[in-house]
Formats: sequence, C-alpha cells, structure tokens
Amino acid sequence: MSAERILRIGLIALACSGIAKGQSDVPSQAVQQEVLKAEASRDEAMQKADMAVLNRIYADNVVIVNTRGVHLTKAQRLADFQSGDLKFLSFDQGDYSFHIYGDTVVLNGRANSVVQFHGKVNRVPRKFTLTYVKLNGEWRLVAQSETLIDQPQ
Amino acid sequence: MSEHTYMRKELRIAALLVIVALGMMGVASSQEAKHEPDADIQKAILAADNERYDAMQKKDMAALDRLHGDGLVFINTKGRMLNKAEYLEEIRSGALKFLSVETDDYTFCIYGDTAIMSGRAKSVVEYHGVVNKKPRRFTSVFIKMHGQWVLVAHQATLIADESN
Repeated sequence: MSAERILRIGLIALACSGIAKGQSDVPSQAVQQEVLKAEASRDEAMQKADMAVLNRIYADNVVIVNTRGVHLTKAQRLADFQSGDLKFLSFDQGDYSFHIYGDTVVLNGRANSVVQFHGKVNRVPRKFTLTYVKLNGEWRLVAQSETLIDQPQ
Repeated sequence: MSEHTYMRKELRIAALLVIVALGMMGVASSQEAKHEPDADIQKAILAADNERYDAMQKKDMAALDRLHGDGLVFINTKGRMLNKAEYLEEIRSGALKFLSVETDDYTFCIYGDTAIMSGRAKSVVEYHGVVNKKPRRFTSVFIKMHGQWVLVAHQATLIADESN
C-alpha cells in the first residue's frame, strides 16, 4: 500500500470521526424534522399504548416531571400507559421552539391535549420542555417536564 | 533524505492519523452511550448552579450572562416561557427575587456534554410582589460550551398537594 493511499485513509477516518460526533454536519432543519418525526411516533404510541415504540423512544434514564410536580421514572411512565391510568383523550400540541446543541435538542411547546390521569380529566393547557439526545443514531427522549399554564381568574 | 526514508516517515504520519481518528470516533461513541452519573461532572454542575443562585441574589448580571446560554428557555411555575433577555431582566429589575435558596433531591443524567439535573426546590421566591414558598420540582438542562457548563433550559412545576 502506498504512503499516499494510507494518508487518504487517514484523512477519511478523520472526516468520519467528525461525522460520528455529529456536531454540525446535519442542517438544523433536518434535525428538527427528525425530532418531530420521533415526537409524532411518540404521540401515536401514547394514544395506542404501543409499549414497544414507547420503550424505544424513552431513554432508559429519562427524567419525567408531570404537571403535579411528580418525578417519574421510565418504568413508572410506561406502567401508567400500560395500565390505562394515563390516557390521551385528544392530542393537540404545537407552538414549538427548537434549540439544537450538536446531538442534543431542546424542544419547547404548548400542549392542549385532554388527558385522563388516574380517572381525573385534565384540560388545562400546559407548557413543556422535551430534551432529545441522539444515542446510537436514534433520537431518544431523556427529559420531559410539564407545567400548567396559569389561567387568568 | 532518501525516497525510502521519506516514505517511511509518511507511513508513520498516516498510521498516527488513523490511530487519532479512530480514537476520536471511540470518544464520540462512548459519549453517546454514556448514561452513568459522573461524580466530577455532577460537582461541576452543582458548582455552576450554586454560582448562578449566588449571582441572582447579588444581581451579578455579568456572571448571569456567562452562566446562561444565549438560547436559554426558562419556564416558570406559572407556565410562562421566558428567553434569556426576559429572564435576566426579571432579575435585574427585581421582579424576581430569591429570598432564600434551598434545593435538594437531585437526579443527574449525563450524556457527553449534556447534563440533565432534576431536583426539588423549597426556595422562597418573590415574583412580581407575590411571595411563593410552595415546593417545586425543577428540571435543568446544562450544556458544556467552551469548557463551561451553562444552563440552556429550565422548567419548574409546583408540587401538588396530595390531599387535592
């Protein structure tokens, strides 16, 4: 093998290492679309209680804070879906804003979904922060936090 | 330098480049797979967060500017979303005051240069003249930028009274 050829291999490997780090090679629009696609899959899976999809999207150590200020683990959240304690009666979220930091995306938005949690129906709109991290090539939800929007009296 | 010696030198450089590149790829993939809390990172984040609270109490705007990312999204317990300029202005103007700071019950999840910190706050806060002593759950997202952990997202939710 010639020195020139080995040099080429070295340069290609260097370029690949940059891609692996994924810091800025993917345009932000494409990243937004990828994360929205993951969100659409999650939304559908929540409504159908599709545990396989939810298990794939929620990271193993996901940190969830619900609107009651309760910290939930992945196992607790998935159990809520599986048992039917948490049901989405309608799904409506939008008003998104994205902030992209390499392989981390912070997605903020507003949810107007009607949710039944342990028998109680909640229609109060909420603000949320979802943090997605690309792990082994897939966007996984690593943090989810929700707060009810204070309604004017 | 003979042609043979020159080629040997090139070969060594090429091999070194390959090793460095493969090493960098290894670092990147290990960051992707890293989930375990790292004591040093936790300490660094807690130090940054303490510095942030200290700066809020002293209205040290230069420190606050340094400790918050430009793309900061801050969602308070009323579900109001603030950007960095709005959040810092609330502190500068005195609309948001921390009368005491008390946080505990932390959970950390580290993913390379991204850290999720969740916890409970019992700080006493005065917001637009109304004092709030209710405990809250918060989630903070820190990103390491230029060697420093900065806050890029924060959301706080009041802990509901279980009797309701």
